[in-house]
Amino acid sequence: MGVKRLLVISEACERAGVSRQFVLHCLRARWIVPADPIEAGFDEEDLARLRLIHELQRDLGVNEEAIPIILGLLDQLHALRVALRKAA
Amino acid sequence: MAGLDPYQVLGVAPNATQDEIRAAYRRLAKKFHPDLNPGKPEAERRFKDISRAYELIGDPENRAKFDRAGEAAFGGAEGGGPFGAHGGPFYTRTQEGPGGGRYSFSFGRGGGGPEGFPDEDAFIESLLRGFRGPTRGEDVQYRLEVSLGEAARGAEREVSFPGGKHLRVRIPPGVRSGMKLRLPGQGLSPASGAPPGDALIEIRVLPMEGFRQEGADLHTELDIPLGEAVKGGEERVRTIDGDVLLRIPQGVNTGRRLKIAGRGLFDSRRGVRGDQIVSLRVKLPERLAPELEEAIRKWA
Repeated sequence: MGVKRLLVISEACERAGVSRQFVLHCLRARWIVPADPIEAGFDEEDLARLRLIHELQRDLGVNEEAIPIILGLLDQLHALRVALRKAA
Repeated sequence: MAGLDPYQVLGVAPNATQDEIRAAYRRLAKKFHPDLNPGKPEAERRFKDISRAYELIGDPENRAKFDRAGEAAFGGAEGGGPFGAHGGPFYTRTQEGPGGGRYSFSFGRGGGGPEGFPDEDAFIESLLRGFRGPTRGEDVQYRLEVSLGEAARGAEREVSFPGGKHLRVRIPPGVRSGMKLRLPGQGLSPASGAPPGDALIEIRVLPMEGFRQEGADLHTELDIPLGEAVKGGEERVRTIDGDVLLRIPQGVNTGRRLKIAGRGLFDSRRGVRGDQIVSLRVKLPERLAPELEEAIRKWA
């Protein structure tokens, strides 16, 4: 698999269907740390996480304080599931 | 997905209000969102139905269309909806590949804390700077001297910048000393290829000997010979637009002010030019002709 091109913020906004304002907010809140944090390049993981946060807020009515809690629990859950699969 | 009954999927009555539909959708979406149900494929299937159902009847316009013509009215394009339309994998999918995703690897290991993440504010700052794009080049300052006339009328001047660049600079009428004109993008270009800064041109209006400024008006003085003061006549007068002929009425005295309309500075507030006010000074000849001296003695 070749090297994946990372997306700049405008592309990330378009692909994730979110505003630039929203992305900046997620960065300040540290909910998103892009794949290339120095040059600010986004990968598919970043996009999926942006979409998830957006859906949680817009469609599921999750408030600001609950976002990091949900993200944290999800990340732990994912890590556990990966660890379990390795152990099996 | 032929035959999907959105009312049934969302568990609402066909005559439910839009609010009831939205509430039902939110309730079910929370329950079945694939990212909140990792490893449960049936949740993803349910969720797709829920999203599709909400797409069909979630807003009044679509709902009317659906009620009239059924799902066929939507061209059969399945999998849209607020979630399906998002055009990418669900987050869970990106995190459960071999080795786990970047986020779950960072967050998950430490049991919740953001250990894997750079923590310094400086990092976030540099990141945000990155998003604003590289910083702009520096502004450069120049000085440009303009005559009173140019300041009043406005002008276009060719200006040479250090580095050999020539630019035509438009000077708007009404500039005053100390005003700065900004030429966007004419400053320094940083090596990084970032946008250049601006050129700031500070205007200095050169004073003109004999011209005193009062608001938009210019005051000058004019010496006229006694004969002209008595008989009237014409005098060539310097203005900031060049010389003009000024008619001197009969019988004027020192201190009499004559107005040359529209030859003053530009009054930006009123949008017109002020006037030139010429104060007359009657000059006696160095040597009075004997007849004249005699006449004055008699008269006095």
